[in-house]
Order: sequence, then structure tokens, then C-alpha cells
Amino acid sequence: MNVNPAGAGSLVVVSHSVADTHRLASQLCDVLRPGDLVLLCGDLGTGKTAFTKGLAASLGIDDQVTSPTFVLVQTYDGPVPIVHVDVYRLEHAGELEALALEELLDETAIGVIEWGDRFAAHLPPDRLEIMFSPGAGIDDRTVVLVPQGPSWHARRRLLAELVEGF
Amino acid sequence: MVILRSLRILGIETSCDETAAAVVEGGSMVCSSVVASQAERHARFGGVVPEIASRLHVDVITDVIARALVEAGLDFPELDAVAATHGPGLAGALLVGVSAAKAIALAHGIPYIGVNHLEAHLYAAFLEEPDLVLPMVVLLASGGHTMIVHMIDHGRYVVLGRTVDDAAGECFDKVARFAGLGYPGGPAIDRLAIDGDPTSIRFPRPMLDEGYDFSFSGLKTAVINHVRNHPDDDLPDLCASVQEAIVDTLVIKLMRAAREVDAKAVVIGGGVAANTALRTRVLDEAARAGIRAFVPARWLCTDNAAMIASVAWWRLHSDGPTSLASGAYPNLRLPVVG
Repeated sequence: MNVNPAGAGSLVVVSHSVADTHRLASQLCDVLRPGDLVLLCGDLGTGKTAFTKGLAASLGIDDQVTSPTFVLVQTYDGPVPIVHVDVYRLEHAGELEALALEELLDETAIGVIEWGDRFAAHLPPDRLEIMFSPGAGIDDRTVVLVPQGPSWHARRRLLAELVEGF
Repeated sequence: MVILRSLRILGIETSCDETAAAVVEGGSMVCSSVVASQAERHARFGGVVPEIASRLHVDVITDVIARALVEAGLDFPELDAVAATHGPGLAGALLVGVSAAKAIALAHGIPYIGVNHLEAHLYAAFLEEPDLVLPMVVLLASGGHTMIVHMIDHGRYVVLGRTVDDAAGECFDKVARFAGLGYPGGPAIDRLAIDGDPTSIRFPRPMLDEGYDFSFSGLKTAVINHVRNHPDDDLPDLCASVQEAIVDTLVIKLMRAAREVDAKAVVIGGGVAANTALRTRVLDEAARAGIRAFVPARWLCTDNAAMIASVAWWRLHSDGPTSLASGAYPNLRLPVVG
């Protein structure tokens, strides 16, 4: 696992496999709290849904997490529920209203929004952004964690420790 | 007293991008079926956009229902019941059909039946073959779902396997969008694949030896990696090869399931069942295995309201009407036994 410092508060790890991406999600569970919002960004096939699967498994959710592209919103019940959203198919920020995100993203659940960067300006500013991109090897993914807003800046040291130990 | 067999049911479907209404008599005789597709209006968005979908359903639903009645030569008082898809699907879209059906039920004093969209797809084949033999194994594959269902009897289902990540139709759509083929992706790939060589690129068949679950995310990633590394590859060859990988995976598992549960027939349904290669392969493999295969007409595979009215007839028979106090259920699952 390679660790690199990146620009302005962001942290970089490299995942070498889907299992690595699951493990990263699992470790991130120790830093996450109910009410948190996570934006997953990156091209098709870079590991956004895989990451969410890892997150759900670590949170004790029994349901199979599948791609929310078609259904747009999928809620998984568990000790800490996950609201899994995919805005891949949306073209305009106005369409976000139809998803009623403000109702779905409550204080008891963790919100995960795939392709969240497409509407970053229209989503709550306090959030963890995770950018996935293809790495050197065919299964490698560069994963950049970007803490945004006061609650995540306060947790930056925890994230840094997680990244160093990965 | 109305004899159940001749009940005329108005079915309404608005769970995704089609606004549809149909009148079916006795569970299988289609008196009319009207589908107003929003696919063309969605084409420029590369997908179904829910806010627009709900609004378009509201715009056209009254007209679609009226046309279904005119084509059936009926008026509201001649209906015995009204049904609508109440899940799964987009909440806003579902509510349009559910509200319309409840209003008709209330105004005309007839029963309302809320229908599970997935269960309706299982029943689509009965509209062409009322004497379909049970038990059967159904492959249901669409943009949002991919599952193999053992239909033991009416209303008695076991899900043998389902996708663990992407749906088969989603794989078609995302690959097509990545290759610049537009939306919906399935028909575009189907057309181009006719002129391609399905053996030209060997894409993976994920989880082929692992039970009846599917995984199409890895295949999607493999195709995208291939296109990135070979941008000048022949498009028909690419389409034929992707299609072959998807069809292979679906049909091998479907036939294996049919043998294992000793099914009398195999059936396909859902939007992906409109794919030419899949239809041909299922008929060929079933003939080879000496098992009956039912490949419904394309209009019955894609979303329609005739299948809603058909399943409603069976559910009214077994469970009675649905309360008007019930709502829409976006995360509804197929009811299973055991």
C-alpha cells in the first residue's frame, strides 16, 4: 500500500484490489458517524459501489448492496442505516429535488452519494469526498480522501492515521 | 354475481419511464394495451430522469387510460377492478399510477389491487400462453433487476439468484453510453452486434461457476478498460462480444437452474429479454435440453400494463383487494416462500 501526501488537506491511498477497497471502507467506518455524508467520485468501474459494499458489510448490514444507478436511491437498514444514492443519470441540479435528499439524509443514517461531484455545489458542504481513479496496474485504484467542512476538518488527523496505517 | 374468470381488470403501470394502461379479461385475454414511452424524450439525457418521468406520467396518464378503454370498447362502469404497480420503482412515478387507480376504484366502487412490478414480469408469459406449465424457472433481466426465479406455483416464488452488483440491462446501458451509442443501450448494441464477430474479444463471464448469482460490474470494467486500450476496435465486434458475454452468463445459469429444480419450462422476461441473441439462445438451449421455452413477444418483455392487469387477476383471486389506505413502495421485493 502506497501512501502519498496530496494537496490542501487531502489524503491519498492506493488500492490494489476490490478486497483492498473493501478494507479501506471497513477502516473508514471507525471514523464515520451517523448523519455523515460521503460523496463517491470517479469514472465507471473505479470502485464506488465496491466501496459502498465494504462500508455496508462493516456496518453490519446484511442486505446485498447493488448498483443504485437505476433505482437512484436505495436505503439499507441496519444498526446504522445507509442511504445509497446515485446521481449518474441526472442531468440538472433541479432533478435532485425529486430525490428529496434533505428528507433521506437524516441524522441516524450515513449518506453515500455516487457521482456526487457532478452536483457538488448543491449538496451539503460538510462531507467527506472520496475520489477514485485508475492506477498503474489494471486493478489498481488511486483513492483520494478530501475532508470538507468543520466536522471533517476536525477528523482530518484520524483520517491521516488511517491512511498511514493502511 | 360476477364470475371471477371473466373479470375485466384495468391495469396501470408508471413505475419507470413508460406510462401504460391495459384492459385484460380473465387474467389472460388482452382487450387493449397502450404504452406511451418516454424513452425518446429521455434519449437526450442518456437515461431516465425521475423528476421528468413523474411529470410526464402526470401529463399523459389520463389520455393513456382513456385510450386503453376505447381500444377495449369499454367504459369505466364495465370494469370489475383496477390495478396499478405500487412498487418497486421511483416513488414519484409510482404515485401517479397508484393515485389514478385508487381514484377510479373510489369513483366507480370497484376493488383496487396494488401490484408488484417484478411479479408482473413473471406473469407476462401467461398472456400468450395461459396454460403455461408450472413449475418453471424465469430469468428476469432489466435495467434495474437481474434474477432467476423458481416459480413453484401461482404466488409461490423462490429467488435462486440475483445480481450482486450491476443489473444486466445496466451493463448494456453503461457500455453503450461509454461507447457513445446513446440510450437505451440494449437495442443499440443488439443492432450493431448483428454485423460483429462475437468471438473477436474474449470478455470475462463473472461468477459462472458460483451458483445462480450474477456480477456484471467486473464485465463492465473489463469492457471499459478494453475500449480505453483499443479505441480503434471495430464497434460491431465490440458490441457482439459484450452481448455474447452477457447472454452466455444469463443462459448458462438459467438452464442450469432449470435442470436442478426439474422445471417444466423456462421463461424470460424484462427489458433485456427483448435482446435478439438472448431470445435465440434460450430457444436453442431449451430445445437441446428437451425443456419447453417461452419467449414472450417483445412488447410483453418490456414494461407494459397488460402484465399488471394479469397478475392483479391472480392476486385478487388469492388475496382479495388491496386497501385504499396503502401507498407506493419504492423498495418492494418479490414475495418469496420459505
